[in-house]
Amino acid sequence: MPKRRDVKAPDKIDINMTPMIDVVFQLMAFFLMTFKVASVEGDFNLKLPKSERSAGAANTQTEMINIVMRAQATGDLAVMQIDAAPPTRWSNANDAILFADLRAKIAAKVNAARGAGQEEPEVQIDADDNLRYEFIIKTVDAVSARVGEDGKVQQLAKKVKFAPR
Amino acid sequence: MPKLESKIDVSAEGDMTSMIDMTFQLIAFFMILINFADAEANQDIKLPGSQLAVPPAAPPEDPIVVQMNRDGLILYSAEEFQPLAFVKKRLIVKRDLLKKGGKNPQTATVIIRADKNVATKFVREMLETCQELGFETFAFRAAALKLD
Repeated sequence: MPKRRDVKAPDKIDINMTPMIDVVFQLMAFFLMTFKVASVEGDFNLKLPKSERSAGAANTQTEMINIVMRAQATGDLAVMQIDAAPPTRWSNANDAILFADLRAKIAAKVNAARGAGQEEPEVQIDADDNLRYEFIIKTVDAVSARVGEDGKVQQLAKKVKFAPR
Repeated sequence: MPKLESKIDVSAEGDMTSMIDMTFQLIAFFMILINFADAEANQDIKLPGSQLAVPPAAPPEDPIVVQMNRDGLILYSAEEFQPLAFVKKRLIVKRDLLKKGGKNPQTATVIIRADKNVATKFVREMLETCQELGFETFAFRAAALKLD
C-alpha cells in the first residue's frame, strides 16, 4: 500500500485586498465631496385656483379677513392692518409681538367660526409690491397654524390668498 | 570564524482589518445622509424661516420646483436664472406634457423656493402666471426652524 502523502494545507490564505480598498476609498471620496449639511425645508401648501379670486369675494357665506401690509422703501414692513382695526407700525423690536398678535386674532376668529359651526374664514393678503417675501411667509405662518398649550400644532386658516391687483 | 546566518523576515504586513471596518462605517454614514433631492436646491437662495412649515411626508406626485433669487429671476428647467417670460414658455411645455400624459395640471404641485429678500411683486407675478396656465396647487417652501 502506498504511503499516504503528507499534504500540508497552507496556514494562511492571502486575499489581495488592494482593489477592494481602492474602490472603498473612491466611494468614500465621492461621498465626502458630495456631502452637504442641508437645512430642513418645510412647505406651506395652499390651493390657489384662479377662479377663486373673484368667487371668494362674492361669496357672502365666507368671512374674509383682510390683511393689509404696507412696505417701507427698503422693502421692510411699515404697517400692518387687520380688517378695520387700527394699523400697527412694524419695527425690528416688535416683529415677534406683531405676528404673535396676528396669530392670536386669526385663531380667535377661526375658533369662533368653528364653534358656531360656520364656514371657516378666508384670509386675503394685500401686500405692497416691494415688500420683502420674508414678511409674506411670516404672515402665512401666523395665519395657517399655531402651537397649542399641549404642544400640538393646531391648524388655523386653510384658505389663504393674495389680493387681486 | 564562521558566519552566523540569521534570517530576517522583511515583509511587513500591517493588519488592515480595523481600517477597512472604519472606512465601511464612514461609507455607510455618508450613504445614509446623502440626499440627492436637496442637491438640486440652489444654495444661493436664502429661504425665509418658519417654525410651522411642515417638511413633506412624501414628495408630491408631479412636483414643479421653481426657484427665485432675490432679483426676481427664476431657475426652472434651465442652467441659469431666467426672467419670467422665458420660464413661462417652459411651464407651458410642462403643462402640455402633463396633459399628454393624461394628467391634470391642477394636480401638479408648484413648489416655490423664493429668496426671503425678493420683492413680493415677483412672487405674485409668477403665481399669476402659474394660475393662468392652470396650476393651482402651490407649496411655499421655507427653512424649518425649531420650535421654541
